[in-house]
Amino acid sequence: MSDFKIRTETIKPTKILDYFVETKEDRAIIERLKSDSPVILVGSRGVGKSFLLRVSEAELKRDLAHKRVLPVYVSFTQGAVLQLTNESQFYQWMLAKLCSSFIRSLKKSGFILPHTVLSNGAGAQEEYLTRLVDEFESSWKPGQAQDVDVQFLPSIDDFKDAVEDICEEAEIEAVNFFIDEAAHILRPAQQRQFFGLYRDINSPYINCNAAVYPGVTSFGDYFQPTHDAIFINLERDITSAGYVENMRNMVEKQADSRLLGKIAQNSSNFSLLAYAANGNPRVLLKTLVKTPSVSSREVNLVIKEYYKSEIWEEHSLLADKYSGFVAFINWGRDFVEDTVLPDMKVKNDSYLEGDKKTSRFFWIHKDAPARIKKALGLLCYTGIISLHSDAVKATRSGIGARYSVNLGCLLSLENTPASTGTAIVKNLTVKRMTEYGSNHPAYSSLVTDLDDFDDQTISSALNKQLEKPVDFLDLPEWLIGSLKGLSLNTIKDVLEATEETIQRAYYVGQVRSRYIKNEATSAVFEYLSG
Amino acid sequence: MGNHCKEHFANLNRRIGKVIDESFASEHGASLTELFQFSEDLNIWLELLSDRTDRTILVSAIQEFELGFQAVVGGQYRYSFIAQRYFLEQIFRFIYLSTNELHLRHWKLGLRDISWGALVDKENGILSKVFIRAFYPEVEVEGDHLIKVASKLYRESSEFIHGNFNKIEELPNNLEFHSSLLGRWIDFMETCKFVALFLLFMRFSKDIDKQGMARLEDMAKEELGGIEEFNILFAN
Repeated sequence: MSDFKIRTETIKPTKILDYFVETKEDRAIIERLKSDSPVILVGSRGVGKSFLLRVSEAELKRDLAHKRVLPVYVSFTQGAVLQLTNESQFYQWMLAKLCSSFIRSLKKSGFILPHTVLSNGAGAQEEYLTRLVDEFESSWKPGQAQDVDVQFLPSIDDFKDAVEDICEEAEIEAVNFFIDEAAHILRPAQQRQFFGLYRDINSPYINCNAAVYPGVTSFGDYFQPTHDAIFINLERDITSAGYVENMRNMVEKQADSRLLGKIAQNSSNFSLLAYAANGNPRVLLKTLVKTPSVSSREVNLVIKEYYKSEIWEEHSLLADKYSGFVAFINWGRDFVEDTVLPDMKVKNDSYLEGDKKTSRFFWIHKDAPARIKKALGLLCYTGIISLHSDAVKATRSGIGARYSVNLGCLLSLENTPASTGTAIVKNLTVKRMTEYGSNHPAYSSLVTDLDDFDDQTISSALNKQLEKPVDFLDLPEWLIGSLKGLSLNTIKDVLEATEETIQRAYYVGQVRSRYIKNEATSAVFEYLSG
Repeated sequence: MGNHCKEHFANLNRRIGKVIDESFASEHGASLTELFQFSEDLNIWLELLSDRTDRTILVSAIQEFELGFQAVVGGQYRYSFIAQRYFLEQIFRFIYLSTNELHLRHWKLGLRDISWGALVDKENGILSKVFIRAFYPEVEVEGDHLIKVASKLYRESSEFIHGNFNKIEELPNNLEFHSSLLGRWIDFMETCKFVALFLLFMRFSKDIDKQGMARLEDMAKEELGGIEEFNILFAN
């Protein structure tokens, strides 16, 4: 059976180019990311943001000898679970992360540090930075939040000067940062800090690129989206001519001969799966695992099951983790399931009967309540809907945003998607959309005191998560058992445990204890940041 | 005095018989029976092409399928993979040489061979655009994908043949039933079957008369029905 790599994190950075299927659109994005213009890549979970960052990094590394642009990849995933006493600490945490990643990249690329602010006593400085990052990272631990002495952390200007000096001495043209998981969707304070740093850090020697989720819109006072970065929406146009072919090429990089044979044998069923995946490679691979024969029966079943229930799991999980925002999360699901999709289904059925074009779009008036827009933002984050265009004129000259609904969700309403789904896809037009005005009755069911996501709610939600038993983590049973055997019963216990603790209690070697610790920690972050 | 050598092989034969029983009684029994129908499909093609082209290689391919089948149901897994890969090669060779009489004659005389790499070559092989365009242009776009299927299949079966360490470890030391190896062979052979029928239909179906096509209809619908462009063969 084909063993798919469904997350970029599981592909070794050195192997990333082996998995890359080049499309014209992706090539254009990669060239932008490698250039000296600051880019913010926006896309929901699984659409391939990390992958494109990694490809850009790998290509710059490959061409380092003659292009002299040093790539630095850094992920801010852990930022999502940081609990800091004040907002500015997050800024320092990010800066420390950038410093240590930069130094690591310099070393890995074979550059020797010249004497500059950063490299003054190079070894000690790096150790200090690593320690600083560790201290910040462990600040989430309740009761252990430490006042980190940041006097040795370079200021942003020192950092920029240092990069400039190093670049000049090492004959590096520029440093391109690729920041992944840059700001968590539910943490507006972090978003403000991140965009502040982003604006501050760009210089003739530093090109900063970042990947964020849709709905990340708290830019703070200084960052101006139209001036300070180029926003690229990573949306794969499923109606473009080469879409299915590209998705198939991507699968062919990983699948075994048996599955490839089945796909070739049932190419129209595969096309439908690709359309349903809505441009999201991760979702396509996940659904393909469930359709080993790619038969119509399997495809019908998986479209109805995955897009009616499983796709919502991630969305609903948000409600479990961040109970303070449950009203936003639940309303979003109800709105799409009970209002948007049924409206579309009725219309599409009648359009197809009359040989007319079909629709997957809806429109929300710009004066709709802020809380409604927040709820829609969360739906964009999980990929249930996508923002298609921001200012679209609808009937009676009203202005609003046009969203598209996940095609898989739309197809799941069909009795036999494998036979009727293609007609819906082939006839799609952007010109048809269902309109929801500024005071649509469906909005009234979203009752909440909050107009935005606040950090206090996040903190209390995180504390709750940390108290949960380790069984919640996506780990093999034996590992859960091992953790419990060490009296590491809660998620908090696992995060607090040191490698040495595990080693001592277990009488195991360094490698194994590190493995246990790493597996457990990454499962914690995966769970908490989702 | 008995012949010990003969007795040895008679004993082995009894063990093979036992493995055959186990193979058909296993979870793969139904798939085996269904897959063996492919032998009849290939023989239909053999008959339909009797006046058209030199069929020596097709006959050898069919023999290889049947010998491979015999090997796999009897627990001789390594040989079954050799036969399965050879079957694939022979079908490709047959299609290629059916379009080039000079090369065929040279091949028969042992003057010239054709490598696997040339058969699956993207520009000039039998799944290249120019080749498919000459016989069944409607499925031209599938060519690239079929090259990937065939190449991966060839590579995967080669691992059992060339003694890739992991695969040698998987192969049993004695004559005994091995469910996962049987399952793997069936997977490989089902993919071979699809690729072989794609090639035969692509190369010859447009030259076959109505009566002949009637004999191929079920085969085409079962195996190639998911590729819309083949359905036009039976539209009327």
